[in-house]
Amino acid sequence: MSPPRPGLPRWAVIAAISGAGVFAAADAILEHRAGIPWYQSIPDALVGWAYITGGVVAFRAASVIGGVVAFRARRLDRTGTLMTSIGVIWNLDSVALYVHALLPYATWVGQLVVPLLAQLLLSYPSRAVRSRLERAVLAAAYVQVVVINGARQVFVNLHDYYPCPCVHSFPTVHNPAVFHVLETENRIAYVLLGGAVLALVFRRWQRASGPARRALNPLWFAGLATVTALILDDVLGFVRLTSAQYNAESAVVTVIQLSVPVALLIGLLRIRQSRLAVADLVVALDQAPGPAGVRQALASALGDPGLTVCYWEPESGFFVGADGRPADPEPPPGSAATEVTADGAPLAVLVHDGELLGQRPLLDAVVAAARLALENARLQAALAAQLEEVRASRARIVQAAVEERRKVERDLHDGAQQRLLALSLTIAMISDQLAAGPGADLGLTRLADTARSEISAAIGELRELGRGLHPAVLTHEGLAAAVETLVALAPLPVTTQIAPARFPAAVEATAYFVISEALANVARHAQASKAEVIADTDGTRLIVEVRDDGIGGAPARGGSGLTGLADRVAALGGRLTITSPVGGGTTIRADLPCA
Amino acid sequence: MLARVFPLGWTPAEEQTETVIATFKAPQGTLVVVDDHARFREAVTERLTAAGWRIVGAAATGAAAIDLVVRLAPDVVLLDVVLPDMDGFAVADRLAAAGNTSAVVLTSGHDRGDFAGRIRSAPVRGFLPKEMISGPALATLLAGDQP
Repeated sequence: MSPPRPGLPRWAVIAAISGAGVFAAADAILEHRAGIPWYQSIPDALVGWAYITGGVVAFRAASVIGGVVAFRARRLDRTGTLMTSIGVIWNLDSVALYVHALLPYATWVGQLVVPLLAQLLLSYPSRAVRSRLERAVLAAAYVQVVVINGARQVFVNLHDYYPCPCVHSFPTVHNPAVFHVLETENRIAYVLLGGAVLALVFRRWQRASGPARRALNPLWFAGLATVTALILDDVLGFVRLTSAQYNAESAVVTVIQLSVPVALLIGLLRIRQSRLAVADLVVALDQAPGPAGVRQALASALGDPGLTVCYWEPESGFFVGADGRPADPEPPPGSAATEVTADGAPLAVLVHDGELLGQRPLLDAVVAAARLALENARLQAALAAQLEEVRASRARIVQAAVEERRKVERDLHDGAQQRLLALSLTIAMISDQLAAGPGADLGLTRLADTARSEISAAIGELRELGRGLHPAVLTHEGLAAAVETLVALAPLPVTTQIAPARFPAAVEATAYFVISEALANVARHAQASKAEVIADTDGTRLIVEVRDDGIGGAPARGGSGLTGLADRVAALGGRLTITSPVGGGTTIRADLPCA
Repeated sequence: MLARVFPLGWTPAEEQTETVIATFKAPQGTLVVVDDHARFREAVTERLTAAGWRIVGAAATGAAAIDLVVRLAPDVVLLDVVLPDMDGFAVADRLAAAGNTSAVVLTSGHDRGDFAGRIRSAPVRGFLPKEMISGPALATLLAGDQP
């Protein structure tokens, strides 16, 4: 990347195009005054003006794209130079009609339009002319025009061509024989070169894919018409025409020539549109970072709402989507994939509408502009994937813990506790029989009673243990009933408003223990006269609130008991908040996803 | 489906279809025990038999219990709340729906509080915690009409 350069300002664009318009008007007027009819001089001046305008638009497009795709900007600059040169040379020749001494030079320089146009047609809009054949044809065109045509001017007798009182000012002698040979060679060479350029443009057009070919269509047809017209014009040069015939023929050829700069101009305006899309993209990427923002910005810059981005994940060796989940970068039929690399390593794949392949410059520019944002987005996608994994595993751990505690509670209840219960009844029977039997042994009876009360205490402790693990009432009756058992034990009046719905076991357990701990804190620290428990749901979240009218001022983290619960709430994707202004009571609120 | 009823003292693994103990009019009336723990059924049977109750049948599942109670129409059904196939409330509801008039007494190793208001609203005579089961406790519960 090269540093961004200052853009061509709008006033400069307007000034250049207007200046070229004045220049063209002057050209048309000067030509007319020199005896050329309007119908020939005006189209001729318009051709030059159209080329200059196209050149200015190319410069402007190159400056919009700036340092983003430097090589494309350089090639657009070259296109601008070529078009502007053609336009200036085109409209400059009229000066020589008045300054006759310049005529040989003007004719010589004027012919430069031919190789410049050939180069323009082969490189338009921003293509490198690399093929050996293309380079050879171009080189031949330049040699023909600069060297051979230059030599021809040395030997020309201007009086043969221009009805002017000019003198031959070239510092050599006039030699009709040599001139005639060079003149003939020149015409034949032009026909051959024109045919070759036409063939090369045709080859380019033929090799282009569907959409790219469609984009080249106007240029191809305009180029075909123009080169054909020029060849015909050249061939007609061998025939002596009357002045009127010559003027009419020249006018037709000139109007046909106008089609090339117009086609080029339309194409360049389209490119400028796409460059503006890139400029918008850069702004959009800045304003909407993150994988989703990057995708949205790319989709709108490329005009493909269905565009998807798959990021290469070097660690796992997978492609992942913006959400961090594995994604398939294989384009479906009608779509195409464009790979984006960074430092030679794969970075991302854009899966987009296949039509976009026809707008390779736009695609390249967009990819270049978005590369840094894509790298950031990939990191974010990778982080999102890891975070998603951690979140899921944390939730699984909590759910597994709840499930495990439920199971232990059930096992305790079904195993040890049932045996103790049966044992308790058996000992009660022993005690009864000892008491009822003849010669009751009071000592044994007391021992049996002691054993029975010990067993009862053990049963009570097991029950408490089970309740701490996972209250049976929660399993059997749900949150509302379980909270009622807590409220019954509370040392202060507690009003409840609990949604009667059932929730996943982990959610019910977490909500229950939050309420339990919060009510215990109210009893211990709040000095409250009453409390309120609310559990409400909208079907996707369960909101639990415990409020008291106590002294407030509870630490925001809520002490060690609530800290552990806050972690459990967070593990389920929820949030525990404590609001406790001094003197304003305490509200503990848990917001739990329960869908 | 045949009701799965277990003889007293047998483990469910031995799976007899049902056992009906020969009846004679006991001083306290007839009783069916429903509990999935064999050892507990045994202990209850011994204790209540000693207290003058005649245990006429025992069942380990809700379905077997309904079948047995409907056929035997005992005076009392001692019904564990937590059963493998359905809970004691469902059994009580179905018995009531079947027009059975036996007095249903729920029991459980869990606290009364663990079933909260459901005991009050169920068609049952009351609730006895398992470790409290005894002849006098049952008689008191049946005499008083409150759970």
